[in-house]
Amino acid sequence: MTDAEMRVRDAFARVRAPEGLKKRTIAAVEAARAGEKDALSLVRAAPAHPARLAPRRLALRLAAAACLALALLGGAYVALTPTAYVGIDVNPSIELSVNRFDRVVGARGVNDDGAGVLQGADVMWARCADALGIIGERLEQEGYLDGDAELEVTVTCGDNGQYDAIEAACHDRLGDASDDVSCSRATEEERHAAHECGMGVGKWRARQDAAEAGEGVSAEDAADMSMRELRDLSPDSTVSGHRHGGRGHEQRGGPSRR
Amino acid sequence: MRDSADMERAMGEHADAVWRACMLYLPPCDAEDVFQETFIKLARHTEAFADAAHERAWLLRVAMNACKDVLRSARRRDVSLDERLERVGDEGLGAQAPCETGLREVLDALDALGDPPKTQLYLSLVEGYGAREISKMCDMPVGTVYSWISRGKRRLREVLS
Repeated sequence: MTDAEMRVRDAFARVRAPEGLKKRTIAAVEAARAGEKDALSLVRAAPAHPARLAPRRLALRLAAAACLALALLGGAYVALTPTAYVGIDVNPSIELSVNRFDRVVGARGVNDDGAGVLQGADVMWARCADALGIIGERLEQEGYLDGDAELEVTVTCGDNGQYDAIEAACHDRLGDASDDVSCSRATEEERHAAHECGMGVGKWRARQDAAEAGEGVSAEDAADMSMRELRDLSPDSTVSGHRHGGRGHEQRGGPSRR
Repeated sequence: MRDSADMERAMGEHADAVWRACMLYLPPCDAEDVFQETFIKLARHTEAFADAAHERAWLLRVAMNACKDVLRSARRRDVSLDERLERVGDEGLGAQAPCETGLREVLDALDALGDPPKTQLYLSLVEGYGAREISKMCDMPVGTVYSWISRGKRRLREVLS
């Protein structure tokens, strides 16, 4: 054997597999045995050197990441976009934004009392029915539903199926809290007009009814009045006839009342 | 899969040889991956080996083929081994040998030979295989193996001189 050949043999003869690597490899084998999918990556030691990615591989990963990000953004957009607005008017006025999956994606107090009620109510991402139940309990606890309080729910929603579900939930979850619960459908125009006056659609409609009955009140005063107080200004108005009929708003039939 | 005790035994008997083979082709970070991959393949290889020598030859063949796959993939990705080794540096060789520089020089010399004859020469000089065994491991006629080993030795002398 020549010197060169001896050098090769001697250099390699000193090479030993690192103990840590052997242990990690045994662990990887056991992980594979346990059926773990990515045994190698689970037990790989922290790299001594920064990971190196070839441009093409990097580009592929970036493209995949971009696709994933787009899919996530698209999903987030769908999940966060409200498809129904549920207005609740007693004196507190509250509005819930509900997505197509029947989850509450927004909740705001239309007036100060409404904001106060929501402070103690964790309704975000709850199912609409559950959120209505929580709000009903809060309204009851705060004494807003005592006596002959009237609770009106208005739903701005383009989907008939979703409206039906919300209407059913409304009676199911709020009916026990108040003896006087009504639910009806509102148009987007009514909703905007009501919010511009600083009140929910229920109160806005009651104020309109009062005005038609010759009992006009300012928007500021109406915002502070309860639904019952506003209704009492126009005692002749009825839910099925006067309150919701003939306004030209998008309605699939009269309001339901319990 | 092979049981844990069998894998512990195989690791004890063949880890150094497999690690050397991985180091012959790849920088340590990639060599570690191939090393683990090789033993996982062994764990999943349920056919019995005739003896320990047969098992070692199988392991070396699997490891070397995996190393060459990594190199081919790196070439496709336009990353040269030299570049990878440069980035790893001497310390990255990871050998527990007192003379790391000597190993590095030897690795450089073997790389300079090209492959073949690098693999055939390594199996002959370091692992002690004969031409007939190397021919089976490399899927190469025995005569060709003899020829490559002879040519490799001649070139090795030139490179290391």
